[in-house]
Amino acid sequence: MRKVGLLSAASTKYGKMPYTARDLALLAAKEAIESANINPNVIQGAFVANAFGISEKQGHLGPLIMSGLGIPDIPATSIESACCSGGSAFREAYVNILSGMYDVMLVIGTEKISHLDTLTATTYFSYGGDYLFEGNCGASFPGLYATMARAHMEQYRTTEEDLANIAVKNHINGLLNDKAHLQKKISVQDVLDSAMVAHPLKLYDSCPFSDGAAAVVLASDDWIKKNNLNSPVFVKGSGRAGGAGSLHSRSDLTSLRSTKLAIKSALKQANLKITDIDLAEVHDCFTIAELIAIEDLGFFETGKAAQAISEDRTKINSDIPINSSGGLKSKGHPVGTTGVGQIVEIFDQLTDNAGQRQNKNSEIGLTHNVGATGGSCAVHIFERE
Amino acid sequence: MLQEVVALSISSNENENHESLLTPDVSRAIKDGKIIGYECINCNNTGLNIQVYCPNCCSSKINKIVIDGIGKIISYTIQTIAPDPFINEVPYAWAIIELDCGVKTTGWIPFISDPHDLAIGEIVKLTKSYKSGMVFEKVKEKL
Repeated sequence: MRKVGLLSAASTKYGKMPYTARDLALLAAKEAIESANINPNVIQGAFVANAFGISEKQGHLGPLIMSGLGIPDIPATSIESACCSGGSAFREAYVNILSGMYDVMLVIGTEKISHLDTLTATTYFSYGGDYLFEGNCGASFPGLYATMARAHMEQYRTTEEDLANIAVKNHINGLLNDKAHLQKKISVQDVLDSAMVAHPLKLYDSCPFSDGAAAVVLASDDWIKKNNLNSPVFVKGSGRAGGAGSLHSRSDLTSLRSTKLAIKSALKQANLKITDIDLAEVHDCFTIAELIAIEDLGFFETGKAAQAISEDRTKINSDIPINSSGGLKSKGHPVGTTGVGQIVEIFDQLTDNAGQRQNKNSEIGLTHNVGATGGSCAVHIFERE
Repeated sequence: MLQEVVALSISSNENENHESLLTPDVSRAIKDGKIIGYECINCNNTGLNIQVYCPNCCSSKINKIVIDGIGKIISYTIQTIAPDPFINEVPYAWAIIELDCGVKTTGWIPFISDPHDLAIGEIVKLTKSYKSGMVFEKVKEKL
């Protein structure tokens, strides 16, 4: 199998931005191209992750972005897998290079959400589940995760304080990230006192609606060598899985089958054990999502993650740092961008460019990106060269 | 007392032709206060989703079934923020319900604003819907 390297990874700031998804994509892509030390005309193909483009009256973003980058002839395919669009787009670019069809690809995640009011954004998010049985039956997106939280609390005696600990930790990390959307220190009591969204999930259990873009340039090892370029990070494993799109079709509400399948596949390809991973960016659209993620990925036994978090075992420079960027919770969640943005954080950590939030001795990092309530999952493992 | 309310089982579709389960039929059934699901003739797997192959054995021998709308709460939330068609209904409960036949469904229960007013394991039944989605009500209050 070909070895595939990351030449660069870049991101805009996340938050309320005065730009369209197209603008944001161009800003992130330009930074990635410059940092890769290449001319855009060496790029042979691109995948653009975007979920809510239609809300800006703009579908088919790919060609517009390629034109803006000065390479209108290069094919760009849009990928929509709800919140897993970014991880899915990276996976497709990786597979395209592995196949030998292309040597150099650009992956962009971009999203504009802040122009939507809360009701419209909430409604758009509800489209990511099984609308006939969920949104159409009154379920908001937080409501779906709240139902999973309730089941986890019932089965494992997880408490609202356990979930609040996750928000507090991710906000501490986000304060160290100048690109994070919510840069604010919060306490467990702040989380418990925040407005109820879908019981037991409150406003501070939930990620914000963010704008932002991220981009990654990846290439085959032989092309990188031939062109005397530097690839500081390599893809070690890629796992991708689907899962029943609706909660009522699952036997267990406290776990995501797609995460378990994706991590198994990624670790097998990487020939690694979960204990070999030094740090991870996981999909924490709600606090309960991080709890379930780190149990499903195998960092902690099922039902044991809450205790580990309360013992600070997931902080930066601890047993297994989770979401050093601040995660979706604090860094923000520009839906289609998120999976690519997670890769940017791991790239920065593995190249010692994470500034104040740098985790010591980071050699192997993992990203975990989930679509809606687990209908899609992408797990990638990266290694420092 | 509960037995008096309903305790029926899955009834197979009279039509012997294997029919795909598609959205218009499911939507119509929900409007009529019925639940249409599927049963796999090959492995007896049952469920609610739109299937042309069985998610358990991949057989295409799928029959439509009519399922009685009574069951127990598996998990639930109380929503204070809702998507578009439900903004005037908040707060209300949204739940995953395991019907007596074992098939799981989703549904919403109006006028429940306190999480203590509902419990996992509580019995609910389908009522006629005055808007989209499957509306359930608590059985206890009716007895």
